[in-house]
Amino acid sequence: MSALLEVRAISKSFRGLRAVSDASFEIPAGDINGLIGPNGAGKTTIFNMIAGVYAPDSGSILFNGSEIQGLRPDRICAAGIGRTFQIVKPFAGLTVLDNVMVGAFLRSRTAQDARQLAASIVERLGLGPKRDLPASSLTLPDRKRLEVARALATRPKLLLLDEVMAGLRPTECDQMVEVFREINRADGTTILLIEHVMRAVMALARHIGVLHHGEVIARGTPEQVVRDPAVLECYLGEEAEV
Amino acid sequence: MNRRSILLAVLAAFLVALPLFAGNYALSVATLILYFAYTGQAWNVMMGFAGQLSLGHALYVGVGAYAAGALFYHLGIGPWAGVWLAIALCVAFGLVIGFLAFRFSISGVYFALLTIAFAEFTRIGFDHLNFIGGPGGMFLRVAQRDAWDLANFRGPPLMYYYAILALTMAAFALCSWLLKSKAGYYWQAIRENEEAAQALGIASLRWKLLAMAISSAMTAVSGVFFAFYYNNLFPEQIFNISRSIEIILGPVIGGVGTLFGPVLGAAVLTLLSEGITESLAALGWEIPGVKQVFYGVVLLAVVMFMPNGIWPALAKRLRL
Amino acid sequence: MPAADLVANVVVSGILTGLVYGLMALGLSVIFGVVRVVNFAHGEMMITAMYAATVLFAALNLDPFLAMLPVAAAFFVFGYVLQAAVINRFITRPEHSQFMLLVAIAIILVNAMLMVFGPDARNVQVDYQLDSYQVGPLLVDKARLLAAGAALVAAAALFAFFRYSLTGKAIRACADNYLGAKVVGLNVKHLYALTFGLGAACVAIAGCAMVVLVDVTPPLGPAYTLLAFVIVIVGGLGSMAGALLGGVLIGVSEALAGLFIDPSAKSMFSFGLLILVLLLRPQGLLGRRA
Repeated sequence: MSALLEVRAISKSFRGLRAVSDASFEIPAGDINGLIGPNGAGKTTIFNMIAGVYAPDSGSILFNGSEIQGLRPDRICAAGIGRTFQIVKPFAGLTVLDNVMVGAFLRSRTAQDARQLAASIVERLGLGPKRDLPASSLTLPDRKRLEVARALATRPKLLLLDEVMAGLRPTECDQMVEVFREINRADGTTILLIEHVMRAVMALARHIGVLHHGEVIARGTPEQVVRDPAVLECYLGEEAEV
Repeated sequence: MNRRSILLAVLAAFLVALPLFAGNYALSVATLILYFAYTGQAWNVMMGFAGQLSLGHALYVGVGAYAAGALFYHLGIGPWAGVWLAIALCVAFGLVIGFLAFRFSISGVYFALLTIAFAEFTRIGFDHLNFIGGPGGMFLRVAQRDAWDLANFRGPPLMYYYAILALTMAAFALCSWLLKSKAGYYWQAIRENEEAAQALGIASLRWKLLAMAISSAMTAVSGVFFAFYYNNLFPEQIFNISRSIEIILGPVIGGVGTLFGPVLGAAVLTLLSEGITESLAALGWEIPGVKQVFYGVVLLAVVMFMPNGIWPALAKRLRL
Repeated sequence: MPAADLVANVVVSGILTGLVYGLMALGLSVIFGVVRVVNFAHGEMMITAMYAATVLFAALNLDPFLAMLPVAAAFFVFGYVLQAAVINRFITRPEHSQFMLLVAIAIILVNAMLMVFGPDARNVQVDYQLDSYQVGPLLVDKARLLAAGAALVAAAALFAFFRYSLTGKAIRACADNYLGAKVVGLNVKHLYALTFGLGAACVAIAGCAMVVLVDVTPPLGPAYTLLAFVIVIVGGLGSMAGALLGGVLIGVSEALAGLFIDPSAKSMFSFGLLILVLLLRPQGLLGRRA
């Protein structure tokens, strides 16, 4: 089975600072993949390159067999990649339903269709009772759900989740994990998530990639990765030789 | 029918029936109000919908007016054909300005300054174009004033009133439709958070340009009306920055981005200012500048105490 | 083709006038750059100062260069109060709201001038109006020289204030980092008001200088506002030297355009320049990239 997303040796520097260095990985369709690493490791930069916010300095990104590196963010969304933002960006002046409708219009022909699609997604994400409230009045967990709902409305084949669990309490986190499991199971949506909250990563991801100083230092199943000495070193520091 | 629709129907009926009981002066004031309501609504598409503050909208009024006016003046071509040239030219201007601005990421106050610069540049340019009269102005021949000559848009004040009323109603309907359509949602999304909008598949540049095109096209028609109603055009006047500011006063006072805002704002402003001018004239004071000071004070008061305009506050009160 | 010394004279005249423009723009640069207020009433404030100078001259026979002190003081107070009482409330509001506020003030100012003084041109005719110095082939107007001199002195004083005084440094801190300045305990609202006052004082001095060189009419208000923005953007936002440099550049180009092309087309040149700068180098000649 060929991979849905293939990242081949991408690199990115910002004014001389190498943020991502020769990173490569593959994500098969239908998989849930995690991307972890200490702060500043380059995770969001990789996301932003996949999502089209910047183009990699070198290397290529293939989605469904076609090259997508350097395309504009809206073209990437049209190709089937949805994303959320680390710092949520709701359309504050619009209602919850309208927010999701904006996403729904990508694949819907009429406002009617868009509204129906949006309404069903709003229900799925548990925001039904709040659909007519302004987005600005939502709590943080709900805003995160809204962000996911909006991205889902574009009917993505691949969903990029950027630290969605940050700021959520354990129960809220578990609820989100269930939502993602369901999306993956029911729609077959492939998911790539950046996470610091290990509880979520271990529960969701079938494969994990570990990033450190812009390089992929380990890849494997969660069980393999937590035992990998390179990973332990980068998170916990070297063991001092006595 | 909800309360808003009822209000709309009553207002429409009132405006259609107005000439039956209004004298010539009242009719001319009403025509002026509707002119500002229509032009304000056109500006509102760019600001309220696409979030781009244009302070040089007089550019489109002027280009539209001169385009149709010149065709009539030199070739005798009536406004129904002339309006297409007006729209074409204005849309071209709008797209150029929009493309330059958006491509180079110019927004906010810099965008406003860019629009001012283009309007001023054009004003001075037109002053030097002799084939359309230069600074001395262009004067369209005024034919008979009694019969309705729709082909050449000549006739009694009543004809102009109904024409601008029809335009205003059409603009209202168009904007109302746009707001609820995909375009409306996309524009709002772009205004709220352009980055998030792009991540949802919205090609923001294209949609912003569309708003510019629609806005400039609508304003072009306003210019054509202006040309055939007033019959004399001077670059110094029609492209002047005061005209641009006049255009935005209605929507800003009434409520930017709303449908009723421009109409309400134009009505409030024009009625009060005519009232003041009349009272002052009755007292024997004919001081130039009084009306504008008044505009400034009203604008100041609205900006300070009703920042979203009169309409949102009013609508809440009346539960519309 | 005009003779070389005519061109030289025109250029010198342009430089001197340009320095006065530069001072006016300096006021805007300080206001725009620090307080982030788009002072759309800048040119209107300028002509108000010019009218004030004509009134003082007509009533008290006060030389405009001496009138600079009281007028600048009055404008400082006006600017301070305006910022403290009115504009400070708009810091958190959307950009176009604050913009409209200044537009309203501009409309009120310019039309108040129209109401009080009428549409006819007014100016100041000092005794030395027609004196000039001969420097080689150049003929330099005494009045123009004094005006430019006053502008330079004021600019230097402002520059020294921001560079060396404690308050000046505090203001620069606010400009760099609003939140940080508050956290450190600076009374930002007071400092903002102070800055606006200083900017207004600059305009006042520039106005008193300018009224000796040109006639003042109400439409000059909006024209100066636009000119100030052109200069600030061309010279570079946040750069005081840029404002002066921009002023000189515009002064010279306007003078030359008036000589070689149609005088009425000279502002067309300024606007064309503004468009180019906005598109190609928005940080201006000496400004920092935002």
